[in-house]
Amino acid sequence: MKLRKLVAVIPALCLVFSMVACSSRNTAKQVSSAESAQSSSDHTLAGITTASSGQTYYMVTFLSGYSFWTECWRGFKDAADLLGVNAKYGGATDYDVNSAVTSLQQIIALKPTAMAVTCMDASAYKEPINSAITSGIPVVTFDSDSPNSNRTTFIGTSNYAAGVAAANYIAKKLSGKGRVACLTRTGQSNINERIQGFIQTIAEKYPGIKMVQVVDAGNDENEAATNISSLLAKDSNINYIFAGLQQAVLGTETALSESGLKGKIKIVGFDTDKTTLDSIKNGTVEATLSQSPYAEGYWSMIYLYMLANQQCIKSSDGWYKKGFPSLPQTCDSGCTIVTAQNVDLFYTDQSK
Amino acid sequence: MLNKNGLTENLNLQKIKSVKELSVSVVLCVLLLFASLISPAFFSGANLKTTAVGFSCNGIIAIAMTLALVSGGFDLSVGSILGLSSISVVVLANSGVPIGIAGLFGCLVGVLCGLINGFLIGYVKLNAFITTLGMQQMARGLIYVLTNGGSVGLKPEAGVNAFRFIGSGTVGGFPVLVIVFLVFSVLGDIVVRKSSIARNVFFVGSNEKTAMLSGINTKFVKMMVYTLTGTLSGIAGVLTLSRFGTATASTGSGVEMTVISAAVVGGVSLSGGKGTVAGAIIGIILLSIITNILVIMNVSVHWQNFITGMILILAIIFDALSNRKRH
Amino acid sequence: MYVNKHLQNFTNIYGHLYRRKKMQGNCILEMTDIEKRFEGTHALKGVSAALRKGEIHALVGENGAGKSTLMNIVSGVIRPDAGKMYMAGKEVHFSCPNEAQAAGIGFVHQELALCHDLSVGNNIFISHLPNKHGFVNTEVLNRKSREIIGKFGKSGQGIDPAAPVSSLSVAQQQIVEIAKALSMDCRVLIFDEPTSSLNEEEAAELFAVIKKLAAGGMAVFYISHKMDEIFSQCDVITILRDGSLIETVRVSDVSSEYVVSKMVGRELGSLYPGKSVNRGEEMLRVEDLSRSPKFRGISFSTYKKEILGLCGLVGAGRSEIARAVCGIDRIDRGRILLEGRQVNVRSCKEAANAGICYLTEDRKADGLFLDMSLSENMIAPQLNRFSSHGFISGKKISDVLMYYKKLMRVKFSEPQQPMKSLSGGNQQKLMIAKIIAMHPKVVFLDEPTRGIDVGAKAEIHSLLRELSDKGISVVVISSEMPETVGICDRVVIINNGTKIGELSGKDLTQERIISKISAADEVMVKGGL
Repeated sequence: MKLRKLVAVIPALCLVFSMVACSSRNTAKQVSSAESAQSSSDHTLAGITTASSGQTYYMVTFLSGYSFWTECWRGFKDAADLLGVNAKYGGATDYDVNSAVTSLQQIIALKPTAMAVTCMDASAYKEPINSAITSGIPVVTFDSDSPNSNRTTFIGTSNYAAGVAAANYIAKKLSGKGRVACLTRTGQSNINERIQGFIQTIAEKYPGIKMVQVVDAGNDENEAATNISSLLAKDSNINYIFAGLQQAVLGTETALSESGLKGKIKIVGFDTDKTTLDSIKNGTVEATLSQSPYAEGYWSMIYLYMLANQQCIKSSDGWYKKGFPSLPQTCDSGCTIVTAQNVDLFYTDQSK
Repeated sequence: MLNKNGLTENLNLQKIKSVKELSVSVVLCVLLLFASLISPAFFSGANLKTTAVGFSCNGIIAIAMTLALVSGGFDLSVGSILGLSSISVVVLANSGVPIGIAGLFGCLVGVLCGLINGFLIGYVKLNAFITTLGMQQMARGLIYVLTNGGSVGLKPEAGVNAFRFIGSGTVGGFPVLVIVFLVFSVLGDIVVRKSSIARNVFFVGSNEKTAMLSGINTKFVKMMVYTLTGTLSGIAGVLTLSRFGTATASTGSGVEMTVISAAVVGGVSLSGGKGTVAGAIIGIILLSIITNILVIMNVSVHWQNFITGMILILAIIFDALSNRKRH
Repeated sequence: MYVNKHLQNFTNIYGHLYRRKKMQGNCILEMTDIEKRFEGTHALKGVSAALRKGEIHALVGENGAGKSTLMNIVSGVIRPDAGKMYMAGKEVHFSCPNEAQAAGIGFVHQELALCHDLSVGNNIFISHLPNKHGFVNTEVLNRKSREIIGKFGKSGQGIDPAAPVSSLSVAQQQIVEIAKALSMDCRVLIFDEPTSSLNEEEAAELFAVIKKLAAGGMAVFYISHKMDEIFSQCDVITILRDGSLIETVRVSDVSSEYVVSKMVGRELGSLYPGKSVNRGEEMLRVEDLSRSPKFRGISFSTYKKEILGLCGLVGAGRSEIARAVCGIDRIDRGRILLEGRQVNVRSCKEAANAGICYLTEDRKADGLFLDMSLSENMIAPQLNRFSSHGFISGKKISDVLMYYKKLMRVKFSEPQQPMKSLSGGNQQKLMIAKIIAMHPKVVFLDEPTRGIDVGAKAEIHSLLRELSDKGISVVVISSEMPETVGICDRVVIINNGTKIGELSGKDLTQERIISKISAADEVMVKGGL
């Protein structure tokens, strides 16, 4: 029996030992590369990029398989290739605050040169981001912000503003009078912000438009379709449906065609997934909102590079410690309404 | 109280046999009554039609899940298998494979996943919870890879329209998908209730040791049960694709919890050996109606989960109490 | 001694003749030199036996002698390491229970092997459901079930083929178990302690059925501890001890003392210790206890230094009364007084704290944690006693466990081994030890020697007498009349939920008990119930 207990302890000891050994090794490596880049006195692009070539930049997301992030990542990687540094993608695959924060902390422990983070929950991310910054890792946020943290800058467009844009678009199309409904995803704060923007704009700016109901998009397109259909069975006198997230668009499309209301009720969707773009082309969906994921990723990388290689910007000595006045506090990556007129511009190179 | 044939004529005994479905049917009727009072929209053709279409695929999976629960286990991977089957069909059809063959292949994906689950649970004797959870994650991962995190639509080619008729077409106003569901349900209920093969599943779930001693090949029975859940999930995936025309990264997400809850509400015992397909189907209908009513009543989305959960618990308490009384 | 030797010669000669006779094709099942080892235990050491058509062949031995192992080999559950088996002269190998069943071997298990959620008919025909094109033919199923149940006469009444097994009493479930074996047209039928939950009447009916089957050519293996049953019903006895075959004898040639001595390997004193001479003060008083519909108006008392028995037919309500007094089931009406003071037992924990403990009749279902270790089972009802500062003390547990191991002669090797690795008899002993370790004032033991061999039974009986002498009030519920009469000083007779009388001293005999019960039944019948 004692032997069994001993045998159980040994692998535990090995694990602890290897963790300690590896982390100290990593720290040593990262610190040295950052230091070497900093200490170089060569201020030419060639010189800086040579010194920085060993650096590793991380993009950290949640629900990491989501196609929106794929676009962000593409931008991030392109910028990294331009600058000759390594870029890595990480984050929790599921939609859960605990695992998102845990994977963020695990990546922080790897001591990357810098990180671009999208925040599943603003307050939960504040501490990890701050501790990363104090340990010398520059952090920017993109798409979903943690505004109370010490992140250098936020690149993205506020989800709230996207909702406002959708409301303005629909109101214009309806000339200020009509009835609308929308779909949200309970528990996902970035979606809720969009819907908030939408509802409040309608309520405050367009008294002639009635918000009939907000419906839950559910776990998948089947639940979205079921919920929207239930609403339409009660009240089909609706002009526009704003599907606040990509997966709800498909469900809404199907619900409309099954209830024979296709064409009578218009859909405004979100994000530029290929199927949504195709639907715009063939008229099932009237418009969608694009939050420029590529731009978010691309500019995040550029920002981070500047931060990690402080000698790039000669504005003032110690500008990093002075709060880098040369960099804007937020960077609005813009929000575009995509319609049949400009849809072709939004197709990416990924052909499936 | 025995008649000359040696059978108890006591009517209570007859009622006891079907009380499990009786109590959940009562809850269903109460809800329907409530719904009709809330809004005339509930019993409108459009609403009933779309509600039925909405639960058809879940209902088909519930048939197999009943057997999984009766065998003393359950399958957490059905939703992911559904999604995987959908995207497989899309990928194949879009690369030129005729839609009929692609559809068949989608079903086979379900069979294969089910066989893997079944082999691991039946022969390697792994725990059903962990095994099907692992399959759920693996399949969902594959879905993410194949959809690239987004969604992929079926290219409009030859045969696709005929394929889509199954999921989105109607015959005399009656959705074809619902007809398919009804056929499956009736057949499923009869087979589970009366066939010898299904009866073995009940024996295994009620007392595995006894079943083994009585010569029943318990390993094979378990393997077949999970192969069936996989197969029906695959079929449900093909039907879902037929309805939506697109496979997404989240297709089928959450289906397993809905189906298992529905079955338990419908009287299928979590500890095995007891349950009917009819009960599980009534459970599915019950859960659908609850969501339907909440939307019609314009209940805030943030309260809907709470209410759905509360009604579920009430249904199970009611069910447990009526069972306790007879013992 | 001379008589013994003479007997031995006689049986040896007979054994020889016996073996020659079987070679003449009358033998339906034969085993030669069966060997089986389990991890570290040599369970069977070259056992040979033969079974003839129409013969009722008893298999006896203490716990761990190898009876169950041997029968498991015969019924295909396990395979022998060495040795051969023949059926009707042809060599057979069974790799699974299915093959044994197909060859015509049926087994009625001691621990009932039934699927409780399914109907009686389904259980009877579990391995061969009557079907039409793959669908179960419920009509045929129920009809055939009724036919088989009908063979059991009165005991089978009240068993509806369509009713779920969980709704039947333990006795009725056993009938179903036997019916299951009969439904398979077997040529050999093995019974493992079949009358353990049957009362005298039901057992008699079972024997009638067995005799009828044997008369029709069925070969029967009968494992039992009850000598009187064996000597009244069986033709031949095979005695095993510690995995070896000791002897095979004809019932008509030997006495039960001889068989018992061969079983235990030594001379055994009387099975029952002496009765108590004088009883002490009243310990427990039950007044007008009722819980409809199980029992009503029950009043009795227990005294120190007296073993009380609650006797009656199976299903009379004795277990229910005991469970109610021990706080497990609720009471509708009535008072319970312990040492003169009224106690309110609303839960079994309250009862145990007051000093009233209950030992269940079905150890597998609710008496033991089969997957947990012996230590964990031992300490379960009183964790506090076995812990210091909130942590469980291994030493305290092992001391107590070893004490009872010695006291009750329990066979196990390590306190950490799982309970299910022990034989049924040893499990029963430890379950009793667990209750006694709680130092109760009153203890209700429901079938305390069920599934225990003769040697162990005697040990438990003297233990109970010791406990009673020490001042613990012992109440025994037993379906074995001889045991009730042998161990108890006084009995309270329960029939159909009411107390119909008390007997003690010289009046305490089997005949008096039975006549009191029949008289009460007649009254009921005459009263038109």
